[in-house]
Amino acid sequence: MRALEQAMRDKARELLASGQVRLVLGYEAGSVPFRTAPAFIEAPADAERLVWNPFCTNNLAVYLPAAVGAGRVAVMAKGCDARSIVTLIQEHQVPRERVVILGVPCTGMAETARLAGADGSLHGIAVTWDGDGTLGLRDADGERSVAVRDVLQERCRLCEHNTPALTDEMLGEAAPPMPGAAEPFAAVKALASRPVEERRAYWRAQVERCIRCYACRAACPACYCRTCFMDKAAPRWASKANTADESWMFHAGRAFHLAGRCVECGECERVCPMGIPISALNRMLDREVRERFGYTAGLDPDGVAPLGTFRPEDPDPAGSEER
Amino acid sequence: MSDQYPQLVLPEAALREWLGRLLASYRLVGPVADTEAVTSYRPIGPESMLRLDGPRPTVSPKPHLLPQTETLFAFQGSGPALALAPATPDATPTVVFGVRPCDARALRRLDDVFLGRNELDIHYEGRRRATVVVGVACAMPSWGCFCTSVGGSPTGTEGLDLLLTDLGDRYHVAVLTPAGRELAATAGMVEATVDDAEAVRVRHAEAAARMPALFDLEAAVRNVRWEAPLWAQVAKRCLACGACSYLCPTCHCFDIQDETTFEGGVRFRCWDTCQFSEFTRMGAGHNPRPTQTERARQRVSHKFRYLVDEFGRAGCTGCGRCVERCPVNVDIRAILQAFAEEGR
Repeated sequence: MRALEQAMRDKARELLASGQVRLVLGYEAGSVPFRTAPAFIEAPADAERLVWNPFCTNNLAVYLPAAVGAGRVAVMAKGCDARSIVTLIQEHQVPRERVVILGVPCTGMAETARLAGADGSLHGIAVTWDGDGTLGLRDADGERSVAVRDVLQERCRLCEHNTPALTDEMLGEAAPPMPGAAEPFAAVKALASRPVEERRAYWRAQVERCIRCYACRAACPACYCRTCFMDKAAPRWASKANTADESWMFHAGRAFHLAGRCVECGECERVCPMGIPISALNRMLDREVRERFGYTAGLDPDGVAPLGTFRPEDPDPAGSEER
Repeated sequence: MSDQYPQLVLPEAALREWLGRLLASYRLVGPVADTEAVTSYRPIGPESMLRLDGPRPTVSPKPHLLPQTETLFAFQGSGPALALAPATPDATPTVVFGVRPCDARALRRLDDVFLGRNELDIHYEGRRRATVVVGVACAMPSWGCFCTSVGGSPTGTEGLDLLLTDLGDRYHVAVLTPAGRELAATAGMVEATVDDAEAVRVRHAEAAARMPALFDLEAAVRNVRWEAPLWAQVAKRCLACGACSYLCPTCHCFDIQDETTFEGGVRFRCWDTCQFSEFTRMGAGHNPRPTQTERARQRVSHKFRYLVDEFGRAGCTGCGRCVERCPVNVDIRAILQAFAEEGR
């Protein structure tokens, strides 16, 4: 995996030096050892800043629609990032020729909260990575090592496409499948099987916590509307007053807008400061779309999105034909 | 902590009984677990499990003093028949329990704005004057914490009426104000012994030792400036969400909106943030802060320049929530450090 980091730097340097791209999106060291930050590399010499480790958690596709306006952009794309890029190409937000997809085989990102010691704090923790599957931790509890696969983020554990589906070039060998990939819907199936009143109460309690910071929307590559329905002043679809009803409207509205488009990168849930299980809504609708239309989002840039398409022979349960 | 305040001791086992007694006369708000990972200040009852130890809660007590949404007045009819009904300020006697020193200081920063020399906000004032703040010393910093870098302390007393320090089987209680004394009197606390005072001194010294200052605040404040290239660098990465502002215990900007029906409606205010593009967008479409660069500059400059100019104190108490919850690792500590080290 150290080789992968080197390959990222070499490729970025080459693409920038030859003028093939004006920008390379990747990851650089964060302000603490268990975070990275999105990196915007514009000069060949800055390619040295690029890093790869189990904390490269952001979906970089979110920056693409704005970034490609000024020229060609290369992206370090994990499986989820690549699926988001496919969706953006499909939906005409990113011209295919404006993006160079550098495929990164991904073995999953670590859930940082699970690295904390007995005191529950990550304050002062030192983290090293062996370049493979093990993290070394040192804090008040002393030294210990943790296998990345034991502290995976749930979205990564369930990931079905950790090797990118669409690339211009792969930077490394395909990654082995993730441990939960065979059953990505187990948790939402269990949730869906609960009585409707119970589910209503569950979701009510979840969205009641929402503070409407819109971090979920901001981190989502598929939430690229210039003006979100929640922010529209005329007509006003939703109030700025923070009530559970309005928050439910937001989360349900966003989930519907993402049906058949969400690639389950899980960024919405990761960035939610209030711990709202947003991904469960998206996953629920993804399951519907897969079952009813046999369609999985983010795999084929020429694919026809079922909810973005009209065909005269579509079933019309609302009966408008007879009006 | 100064020795000039009366020092008492409350056995750990007597805490619940005291809270029960407070519940008879006050609305009680304290830190409780919303989920495994999220802790907020919520109204509590006799059975609530308080989370007083560990790193500071996910959300500060700010929403109890400055609610996210608050009705200012209702209106009915129109023209000469227009009738206005101002909302009555909520002055329910309230105890906010288990407040961390950073968040208590933050209430003082809100006081600067809402009870300040410029304007008196009657809604904020109603709640604030009816609120007693019981603090708990921070033993364990969270990873984004930097209170000591902005003039605070994990065991600071600013903005508190009482400060509790966990001594294992008992709490040491520093009585800081007359309101605090009144509250403590309901608990049957005993005078702290010399040993208790020494134990507290040790705990506080340990807490301080875990939190070395990261930068020179005065130098940072001096160097924060309009034309800094840093703003554009931050903006590049920033996703323009409101997580930093909405979790910030001192961010206080709001929007005012009307919600109407055919017959009337209400005018309310609600949190807003300089990080949203709509925040400064005018009716006709012009936006004086057209890009995230100006918005990045605004949040930091407001805290470390404008509020300093206005009130002599920075609008940040180093709680570190913005640091930890930023989706893209914009770390205000690194920004301040960069300014502090400029020109050295």
